[in-house]
Amino acid sequence: MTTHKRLVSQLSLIAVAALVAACGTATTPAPQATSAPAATTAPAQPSGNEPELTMWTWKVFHVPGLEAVAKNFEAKEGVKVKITAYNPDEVYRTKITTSAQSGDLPDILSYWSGGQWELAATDQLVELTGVVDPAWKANFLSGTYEKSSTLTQSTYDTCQKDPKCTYKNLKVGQSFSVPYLAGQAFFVYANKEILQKAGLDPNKAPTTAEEWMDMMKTVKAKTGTPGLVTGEQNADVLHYWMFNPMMMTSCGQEKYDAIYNGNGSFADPCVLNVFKWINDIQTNDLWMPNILQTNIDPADVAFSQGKAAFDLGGTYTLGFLVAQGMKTENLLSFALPPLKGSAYSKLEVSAFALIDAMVTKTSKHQKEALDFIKFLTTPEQMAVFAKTVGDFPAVKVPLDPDKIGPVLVGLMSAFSGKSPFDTSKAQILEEPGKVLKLGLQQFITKETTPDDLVKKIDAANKAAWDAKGGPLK
Amino acid sequence: MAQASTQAAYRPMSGRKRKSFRQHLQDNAGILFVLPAVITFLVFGLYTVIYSVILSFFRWNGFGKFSILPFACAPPACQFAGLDNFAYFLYQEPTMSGFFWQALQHNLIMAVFVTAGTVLVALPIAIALNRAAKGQTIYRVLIMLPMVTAGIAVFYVWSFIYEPDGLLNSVLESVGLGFAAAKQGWLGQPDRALTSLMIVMIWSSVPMAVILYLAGLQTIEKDLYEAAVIDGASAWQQLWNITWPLLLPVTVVIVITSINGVLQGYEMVYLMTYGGPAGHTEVVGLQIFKYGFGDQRQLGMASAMSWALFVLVFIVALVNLRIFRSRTEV
Repeated sequence: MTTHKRLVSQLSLIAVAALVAACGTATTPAPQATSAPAATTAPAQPSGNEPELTMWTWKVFHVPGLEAVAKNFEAKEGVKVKITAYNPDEVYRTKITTSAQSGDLPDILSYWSGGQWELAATDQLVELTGVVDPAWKANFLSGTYEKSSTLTQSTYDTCQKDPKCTYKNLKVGQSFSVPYLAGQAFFVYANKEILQKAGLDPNKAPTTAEEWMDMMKTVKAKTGTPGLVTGEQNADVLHYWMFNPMMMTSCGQEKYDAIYNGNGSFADPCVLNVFKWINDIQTNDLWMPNILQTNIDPADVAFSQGKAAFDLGGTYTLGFLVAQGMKTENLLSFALPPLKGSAYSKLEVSAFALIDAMVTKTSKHQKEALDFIKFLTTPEQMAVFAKTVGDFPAVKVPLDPDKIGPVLVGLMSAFSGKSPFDTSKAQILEEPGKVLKLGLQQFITKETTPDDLVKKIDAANKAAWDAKGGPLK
Repeated sequence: MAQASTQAAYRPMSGRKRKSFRQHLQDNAGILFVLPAVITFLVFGLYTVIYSVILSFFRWNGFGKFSILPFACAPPACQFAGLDNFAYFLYQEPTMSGFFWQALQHNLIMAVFVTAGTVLVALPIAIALNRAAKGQTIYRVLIMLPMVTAGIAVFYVWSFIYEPDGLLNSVLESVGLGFAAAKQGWLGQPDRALTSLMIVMIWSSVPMAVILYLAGLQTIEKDLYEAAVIDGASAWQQLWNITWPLLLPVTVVIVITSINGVLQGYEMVYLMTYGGPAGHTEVVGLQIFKYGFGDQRQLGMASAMSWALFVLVFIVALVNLRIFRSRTEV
């Protein structure tokens, strides 16, 4: 009987352990050897009771880069940092939500830049207002820390007017995180071989959108290869990667902000022309077939296989294309060109914060965790991260091919210090945003026209701002 | 005798014999056996259902404090919304309610056609299998394959079949039906995406329906068919007057489970189209998923939408039961 009981209890324990293990999908890749330079200071001698920090991310391919920095941090401070990735995005969000409820958040969290306010409002994060001193702030690229890691007046105003906003208790100027990954999405990549086959100059980037459209038409006519591919299954892509930058150059920042904030109309010719140009891609049959069922990675794969002459992407696209076997000498990259007669003759592109690091209130080692994120966002360690993972840091790193690799040097050089998006106060509301995204896809399915779409978006934008008490002034 | 008197001394008022612990266990064995299931249901079933009902009246992003035992809702992360969540997607916000009703329309179209398709495909297969003299086991194994194959693999294979240069277009072109091929892919064209999805749904739900029909067919007495043959009934008359009426209870089960599955399901849509192209395959289940687990994390809204869907599923199931009951009782 005793043996039987023991057997039952052991089996129960195994079952519970299996159940608990099955609940998590953590991915902790084994530490990889890295050529990253170690910290210059002498390794700290472990005393045996140093804390071990934990850091979570959802980007599995960032883990080696973060681990390389963690290794240097351990060598300098004697504090170990364990990096764990949970993916995909939905799993990561759910993991954070449930851990926040049970008080099991890690010491350091990675989170979508600008999304940290909800965590901060529920007292989950250590406040960094005043902690990020001018010297630390100076490390960050323009348009990153001050725009999305500090609560701006316009974000505050919009939140106060929105009955659904869940961070009304925060104040302008408060900060709870620092950015470590940045990027930008307004880049077009061209396959030089295909341009050459079509009789075009493979080294000449178009200066206007009309010129770019002509190049796509020529490629289609002479080689039969479709002009353009991008991850259109994701409805955000056409909106944020193509429409918004073209609207910004076409209308100028003041009008761009006014229209989105409910003080102007999408029927304005500067917007209508952009819609017409995007619609023309379809009417000229220049999209790759099955484009609406093509997501971001498959689009890049298709481009790397020569299934389209141009690929609309971002800074992060280049590394992916190279990983797919494309040679950089076969690539021509350029910022999205403006329409003729636009308010700006060229779109100034600056970095945009994508991922922030933050210290959680439940951390028992808040000082060490803060030290780590400060260490992580130094130019030297961000260079280590950038070179290891081939992604774009949110910190001003040395433009040295030996330190960050030749590809990133090229991309970072294309950035200007200032972009109209840095100072833009436009608030894109959920409801008109959905109408816009769907409408852009409906150009491809031929279910709407530019004239119809502006009416629908104007109506949706008005209704949404009315529900919030009126347009944003 | 001495024992009996001792027991009587202990319970003089009741006059009943005191039961031993063993006897108690034996008397209540039934309760004990169902207790684990009841506890599991109360904790994981009833509690979560009540939690979800209450949550549907709140706005909550999942970070702040919200609990029902004891009740807690700490603003601003959690706010009482009353019926606002329901009003928002049902009628109040024109854009979002438009998306909701369109998704529901897709759900209903799928429910009707997938259910009808499943019955129409499964019944002949079951009848043929029931009559097959040889190789019944092999046929049954082949028919069951879609049911036992991992869904995610199947959906990806179907996605490849539906691509512009996929198997389906290639076959059509090779037999001279190139004009019918989908240039943008079968899942990429608004006029074909929903139909293409429904074909995969029917394909994956037919095996279970075949099993149920086979079980039902084997309960029908052969004498009935023999008598019908003597009376001069044709094969069609036998099917319509004997097989179909006697299989109606099975059909009820298939119809209700199919409608229920189609109305609540979203996995296939998530994996194959993510609601595209341009929202032409968006379903309510996918919208709930996006509200609950997307970047908005509006858990109250997702709960409210789930309950709206539950009401619909419940009504449809009741109507089905009523219709089929009246037919079977006759």
